[in-house]
Amino acid sequence: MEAIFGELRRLEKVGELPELARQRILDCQAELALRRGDLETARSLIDQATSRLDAHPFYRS
Amino acid sequence: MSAARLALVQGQKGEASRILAECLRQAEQNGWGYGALAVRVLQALAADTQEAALVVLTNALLRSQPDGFLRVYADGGRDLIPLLQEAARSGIHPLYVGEILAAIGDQESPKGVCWEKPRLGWSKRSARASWKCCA
Repeated sequence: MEAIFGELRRLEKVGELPELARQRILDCQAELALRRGDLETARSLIDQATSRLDAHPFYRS
Repeated sequence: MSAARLALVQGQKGEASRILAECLRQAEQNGWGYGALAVRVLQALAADTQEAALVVLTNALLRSQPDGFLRVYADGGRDLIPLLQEAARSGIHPLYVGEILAAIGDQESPKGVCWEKPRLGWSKRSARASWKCCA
């Protein structure tokens, strides 16, 4: 899980990502933080999300 | 739904319910069946009473049983176990609920940290063959 979290942090810093992609990365990080029980980090990541974040394509079925 | 999950972890059921109601509205408006199902599972956890939780969970189980979805319940975690057990005791698809309970137990075993998505979907039909621990 740490490796995934680290990779997401790396992706977040990669060039100019579309806003939607950046938001999804933040959301994924938040989910992982929740799984780790790191509520402070999860809160911080969730607060960065905008209300425009739509559901991941997986949920749109 | 991360915000709702966080609210649930923090015991803020009212806040979780408020967020989930909006998520459900959006999912239903857009015809996101699986998304709506995922919301309903969390709504069961956010319910004020066990009776209310069972109503929501039963609704979710009746909708998901034909497709045999497991993961959406496993993501709800161990807090769902007593509700699922009660649903099974009430005769709500006991065999299907048994498979869900087994999936939750497997996921939370010491060897299983997280699970990767089955190749052909998230139903029980493909889950046994393709779920792999990615810890």
